[in-house]
This record gives sequence, C-alpha cells and structure tokens, in this order.
Amino acid sequence: MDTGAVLPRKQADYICRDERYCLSMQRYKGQQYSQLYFFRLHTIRQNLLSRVQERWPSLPVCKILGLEEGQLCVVVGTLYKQMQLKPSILEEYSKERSVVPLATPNKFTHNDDYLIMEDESGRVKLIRDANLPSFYVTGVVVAVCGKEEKDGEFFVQEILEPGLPPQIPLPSAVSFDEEKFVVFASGLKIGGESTNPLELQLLLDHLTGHLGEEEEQSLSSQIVRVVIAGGSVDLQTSLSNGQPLSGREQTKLVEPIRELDLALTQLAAAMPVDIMPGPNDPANYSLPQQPLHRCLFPGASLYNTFVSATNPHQFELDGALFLGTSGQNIEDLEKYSEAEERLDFMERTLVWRHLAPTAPDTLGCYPFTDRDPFILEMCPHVYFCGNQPSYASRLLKGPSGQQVRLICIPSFQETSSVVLVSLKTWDSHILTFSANSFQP
Amino acid sequence: MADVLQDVGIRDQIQALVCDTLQVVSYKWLSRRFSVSSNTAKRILQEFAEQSKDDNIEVVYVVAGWTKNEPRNYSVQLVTQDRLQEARETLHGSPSSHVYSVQPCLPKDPAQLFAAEFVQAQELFKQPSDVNNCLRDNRFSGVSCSLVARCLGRVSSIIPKQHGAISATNQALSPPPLLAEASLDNKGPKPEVQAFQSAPAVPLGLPKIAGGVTLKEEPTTVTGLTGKGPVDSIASGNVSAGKRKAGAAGGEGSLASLWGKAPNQSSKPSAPKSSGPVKPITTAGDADRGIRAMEASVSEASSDDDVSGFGQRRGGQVMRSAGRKRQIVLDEDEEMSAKEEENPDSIECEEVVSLASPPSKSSPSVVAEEKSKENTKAKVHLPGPLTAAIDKERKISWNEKHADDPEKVEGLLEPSCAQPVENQILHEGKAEPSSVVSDKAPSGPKRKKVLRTRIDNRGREVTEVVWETDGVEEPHETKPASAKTVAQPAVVETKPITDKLAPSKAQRGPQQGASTKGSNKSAGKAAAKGPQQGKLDSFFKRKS
Repeated sequence: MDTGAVLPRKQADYICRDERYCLSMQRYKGQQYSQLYFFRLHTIRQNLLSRVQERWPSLPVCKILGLEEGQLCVVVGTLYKQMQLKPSILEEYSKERSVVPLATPNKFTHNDDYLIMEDESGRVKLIRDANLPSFYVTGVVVAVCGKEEKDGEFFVQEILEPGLPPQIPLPSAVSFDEEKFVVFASGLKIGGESTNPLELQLLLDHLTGHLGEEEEQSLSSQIVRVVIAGGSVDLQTSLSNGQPLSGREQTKLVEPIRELDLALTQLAAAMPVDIMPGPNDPANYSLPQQPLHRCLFPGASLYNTFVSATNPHQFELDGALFLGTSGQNIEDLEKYSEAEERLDFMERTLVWRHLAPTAPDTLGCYPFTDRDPFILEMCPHVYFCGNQPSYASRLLKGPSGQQVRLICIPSFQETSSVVLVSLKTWDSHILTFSANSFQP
Repeated sequence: MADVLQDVGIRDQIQALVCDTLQVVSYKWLSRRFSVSSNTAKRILQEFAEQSKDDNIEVVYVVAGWTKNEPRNYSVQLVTQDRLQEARETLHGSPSSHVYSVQPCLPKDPAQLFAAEFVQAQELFKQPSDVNNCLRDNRFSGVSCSLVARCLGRVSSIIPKQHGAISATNQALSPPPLLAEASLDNKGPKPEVQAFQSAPAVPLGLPKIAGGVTLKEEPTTVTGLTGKGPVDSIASGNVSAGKRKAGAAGGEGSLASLWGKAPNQSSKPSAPKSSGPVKPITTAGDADRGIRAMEASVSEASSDDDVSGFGQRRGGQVMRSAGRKRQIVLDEDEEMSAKEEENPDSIECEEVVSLASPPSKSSPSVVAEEKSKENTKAKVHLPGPLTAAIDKERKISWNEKHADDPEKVEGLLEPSCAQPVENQILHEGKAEPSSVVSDKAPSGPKRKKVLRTRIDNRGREVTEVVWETDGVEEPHETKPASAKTVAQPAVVETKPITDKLAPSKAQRGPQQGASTKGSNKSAGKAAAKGPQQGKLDSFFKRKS
C-alpha cells in the first residue's frame, strides 16, 4: 500500500493590494487625460527633485518657459517621442482613401524619431545622440541636464531617471525557512485551436496534487498560490459580429469560459488562485483592467481561495510584495522602443517608476483625475509580466539594496510551461508539461 | 482484505472497460469513478498493467523530474512504455513515474486520453452547487489544503441555476402551457391568463409583480372571477390531461407537472393539489382550490421559500391567491399599456403575459356585456378544450378562434353570446358571479398579443405573435393581422386541417369561425360574424 498520508499544503499569508487599480469609485464624466499627465509629472517630480539635488547641487532647476540660451540648467518634464511611424487615426483614414499601401510594422521606431520634453509651461525639443530616442517612450518623466541652443533646441548632457522606488525590506527569515513556491501561469488560451487540453489537465493535476509519486506531490504541496496572468480564454469572437447569436453559437462562444471555470474550480478546490484579466479576456480593454466578473465562474467563485484580481495585480505573500501585469504594458513598450530582451523593458518601467508610461498615449487607460495609479511608490520584490513569448528571469538589484525578481511568464499555450518562484531563495524555475512525446 | 477484494473487483471492471468498451482509463477517472484516492488508483492501474501485459493493452506513463541541463526545470511528460526508460534517463536523479492511463490503443490525438476524464469532470461540475463531490473538495488528491472552503450559503449561486432550470422547463414545456393557456382563455380569458401568468412569469418576473400589487385593489373582486376562470381552465387542462393521465395515481395535473418539473421538490406536493382541483370542475370552491393549486404549484416552482409544507400553503393560499391575482391584474395593465406601445414581434417570449394582458386593458373600457360575452366565449371554449384537450394545436387554434370570436361576436353576435353565457351560467352555478364580477374586473380584452403555435402543413411548428382585438371590432385585429398576413393565411389553413383531425366537432364551429375571421378580417366583418353566430349556436346546442 503506497497510499501514504496526505500531505498538507503549505500556506502563506496573502494580502491583496489591488485597491489602487479598482475603478469602483470612478465615474466617467467626459474627462480627458490631462490630469493623468499632470499627476504623473507632479508626483514623479517630487521624487526627481531630491535626486537632482544630490546629483547637480549647484545647477538651477528651470521651467521650460524660463530657459535661457546657453545657460546650463536642469529641466524636469514629461517626454514625448515624435515618431513618424506611429500609427495615427488620421493617417489611417487618409491612407484608406489613397493608393498607398497600409504598412503595419510590428515596431514603430525609426531612426528619425526625436524626443520632446514638456512641462506645464511649454515644450522643447531635446537633441543628443541618436540612441536616446529609441530608449525612451512617451510619457516617461525624467530630469535632463543641459542648455538651450540658438535654434531653441535643448542640448542634453545627461538624463536622470527617477530610479527604483524604495523597497520594504523583506520580513526576517522566520517564515522563509521552509520552501514555498508561487506559480505564475498565463496564456492558458482555453478553447483555442492550438491549445492542448491534456497539457492543461496535467498542469491542473500537478498543482492539485494528483499527479506523480510522493516526491512530486511534496513539490506540489509547497505551492502556496497560483497566479494566472491573463490570456486565460481564447474566445471565438468572430462569432459575435453584432448580430443576434443562435443558441448554438452562444454555447460555442461561452464554452471556453465554462472550461476555464471547470479548471479554476479544480484549482480553487486545492489551493488559492488569483486570476487576472488579460488582453483578450472578457474584461474591459483599458488599463487598469477590472476583475473578471464572478458570474463568469459560477463554480470557482464559491471558493474562498478564488480571487479575481485587477490587471495590474499587486499582493503580498508573507510580507513580500508581488506586482505584475498581463503583459500589455511591456507589449506596448516593445512596439515603441527598443531593447535586447523583454526583461529590459520590465526593468525600465521600474526605473522610470511607472508601470505603463505609454498609457494613455498608445495604451488604453482610464482617465483618472485624482491620481496616476501606475506610478510605483514601492518597489515590489517580484515583478512579473504575463503572456510573454518565452520564459526569462533576472534578479535586479537597486542602489539602495532593492532586490527585485523580474519574471517573464511564457504563454502556456505556446510553451506548455509555468513559472515557479521560490519564496525562500527568490529563485525561479519553470515547470514544463509535455503530452506529445508518447505518440507512436 | 476488503481493500484487496475491492481492488480485484475494480481490476475486473477495468478489464471490461478497456477490452470491451475500448475506453481510456486514466488514474484520475478511476479514482473518481470508484471513489478511491488518486494514489490508490495509480497503484491499481499499475497492477492491472502488469497483469495484462500480454493483452495488447497500451499503457501511458507519466514521468516527472528535474532536467539535467541548466537552468534546471521540472518536467512532466507522458510517455509510452517503450520510451519510459529513455525519458527517465533524461531526467536528473530518480524521477517519479507512474501509470497515467491504460487503453486498448494509443490515440492519435493526445487529447483523447483525457476525453473520458473530461466528461466525467464536467458531470461532476454540473451537479447542483450544494452537492459536494470529489471534484469540488479535491478529496482524492495527495495534497490537502486546509485553507479551502466553499461558501454554499450564497443565494446568488443557487438562484441562477434555478432560473436556468425554470426557463429551460418553460421552454421545454412551452407547448403544454400554451394549451393550458388556450383552454383558460376560452373559459375566462382574464383570470385564467392571470393564473398562467403567475405560474410561468412569477419566477422570472417577481419584481414586477410585486410592484404591481399595490397599484390596484380591484383585482380582489376579480379573484372570484379569476377563481372560476382558473378553475375552469384548470379543470379543462386537467381534464384534458386527465384523459391522458387519468390513470396516473399521483394524478399530477398536466399543469402541475409542467410547472412542477422545474423545481423537483415542488412538483410532488403541487401535483396532488392540482389533481384535486381537477375533479371539481364547476364549483366555485373547487375553482378556488384549483387556483390555489395552480398558485401553489407555481409558487413552489418559482421560489425556494415556498418549498415548505404543503399544509401551510393551504392555509395561506387564499391570501396569497388574492395577492397574486392583484399582482397579475396590475401586471396585465402595465403590460397592456406596454403592449400597445410595443410591436407585436417584440413580445414573443411572453406567451402567457400576452394572453393575459389584453383582457385587463379591455376590461376597464369594455362594457359588462362584452365581458360577459367573453366569459361566455371562454366557457364555450371550455367544452371545446375539454373534449379536444388532446391536441395542443387545436386548443391553440381554439383560443385564437375564441379570441377572434369574442370580437366578432361582440359586434354582431351579442345575442348569441348572451345565450352562451346563459348556458354557461346554467352549467356553472357560479357563472353569475363571474359575469357580474366581470364588470368590475377588467374582462373585455381589446387587444391581445397572442402567441400562436401550430403545426403547419409541412409538419413544422410555427409560432407567431399576433395582435388580436377583443371588445373592439375586427378591424383592430385586422391591423395586426395584416402585418402578419403572410403567417395568418397559413394559420387559417392549418386550422381546418387540425379540425379535420380533431375528433370533437364542437371545436370545429369555433375554429371555422376563427378561420373565417382570419379571412374576413380584411373583407367583411358582418359576413364573418354571421357564420360564427350560427356556429356558436350550434356549438352550444350540442353542448347542452
């Protein structure tokens, strides 16, 4: 009889920190985005000014309107990137009517791009070497040191970024003497054509502790939480074309959600689950995406272990701060700036202290009037990003002792893998499922 | 020992499943099927696989372990027996492996492996939410989580299900309701309709009704009428059902069974009640009972709270019935107004409502005579349904005809109508009150939205929403009819067919009248009325 005692699952204290991303108190009254930019500039400038004081104690900080030609000074403002390839609805309209073919590049960066800095008083074109524009995107708040030239352009000598936000030190290792893991999954794409339901089932069986012998189940018992970072369903949206749907089509349309509910029910019955909406999930489009409605999951929502979270999702586990998105912010940065790998984009958002600087310029965003929820006030310990093409991870260390584990969560549909992050060592590894190798 | 024996039994069953029904048996399916833990299931499968190595059974293993190369990953893969060793060697240390499934042959599509398990999981998943099963508590897993709790107290989770069930039943049962409605209409259009309304509509439209209750108090007076009406209708419905089900010991009225189906609990208690009412057709008391029964069944079906005792209900039924009727009446009024505004097409779903509402509107404006006529008509219908009850279509056609009839009759046939009324009165001791009350109550239907369902010449079921005007002359009907003209002709045609088929001749008269109406709508009302009168008269004569 090998049916040993049932292993108890490890637990971790969980606190949801999604309040800042909730729109419950917001009422749209036709407001524009100006307040959002204003708050962003105002808030991040506070942080920048102290850094500017340290860096250039002798230089004056000027408004753009008060610039004087030839005088070395520091200007704090929001960057705007002038891009000739940036899609414009007006251009698309004119192209539609012309014979010029509609080019749809994946990236919109170009060598001729240049940066403009603006603050409350005005805007000025920044000039320096050509690399600069490809690094930054619209919406980033920085301080630049330099002087205005004859033709009214501002020659940049140095750029100062806000830097990593302060980090709460991890609680003393009391709770970390035993190994615990958090699982990050994304892009389950249930119902998609290329989705292999068997691999998903293997994942579920592994997580819920059905699969494997005792050794494997002991690994499973160390998993304290599963976070699903978007992309959970692949709805056949082509079915809904604005016309009334037949009953059969409706069933076909919602079937993936039923299956997701079934999967989540199995998960929630075994362990805590967070599910975040993603780019193609049945939630609002603009960030912050609000939690998937509970009525989508009549089965899973009965469990106290089921948490439907907002899209930028923030929570604490055993005192460690986790923050992540379903990938839209990084996806957008990839289009409008350049870096060697996805982790670099993630790192930049931390250094810029803004989760989604391209919102609302090229990324859908709710027009907040009282705050900019994407400003990072605290540095997370784990920063994850869903729906990435491949797994990547890096430990980022800040100047004042911050340590952030950056994780690109691969799409499960494409890679059949999920990411495990240890709460003890802050290492991460992936868990891969393969159901194809048994075929004859 | 017991365990071993059990295992042996399970192994035999696996053998049967795999070799005879060619099913894929995975460890998880096994554990859920035979209520053993996953680990036990794995062991049983392992033993089974070893025992039946010679039987041409394919075994799929799952191998899990750390990969050797950096960065190290944990890998879980499914492999066949011949690749098992190979797969194990690619992993670091001593990887864990066990049987995942046994099957007669390897499926080309890996998802096949998991089909049976998925179906099983879905079945478990679809069980009522208050049922705890192995899917929901993960009881067979090798890892337990004390943190997990299911909150079953949530009403929200339960209600939707019931709604779904009810609506589903409604849909499924829709034809019978129509019949019932039809029969009801015939007897006493308004009250019956109300009852029906309450039945199907209550579950879904409670809020509306509640709001409506306060508005009008007239309904109370109506109750008497309604009681009769419903009773009759019930009786008719039951009678018709009775013919079919007469033997049934439970005596579940057709109506009761229809409504009762949605909530399992309710159906049982309600059924007896309804059956009781069925017997007494004409008596006022009986009528009340019938109403109560109907309501009871309805209420039981609709709301969880009502599930309580049968007896309690009886006590409170009177009050309830009155309240309900009021509600209904109000609803009708609202609907009336709404209907007027709405297009006929929009209302398709609310069969009952549509039927009910027209009378209420008309009632205020219509004279008592009209009401009485209607009642008489309704009564006339009653015999028809009773006799004809078997055919839904017929009934429907009857209703339509009746509905049409009243209009026509009113204009020209007043005398004839009066006669029928008298006849009815004679038949039913309570008929008088009904007629009297009818004045107070909103009886004269001016316009009705009627859902007509019939089987057309080609054997297809055709459902139309038609505006029928009562109290007012045919022209009203014609307007709506004209809109649907295409459909209507078909109706006319079908009706005759059904008539032919129908055993009872009594129906024919009305049906013909209806058909004539349809045809006459545009042409001449007077002409149509003439024939109708004659038919009606003949009908009554036969009856009497």
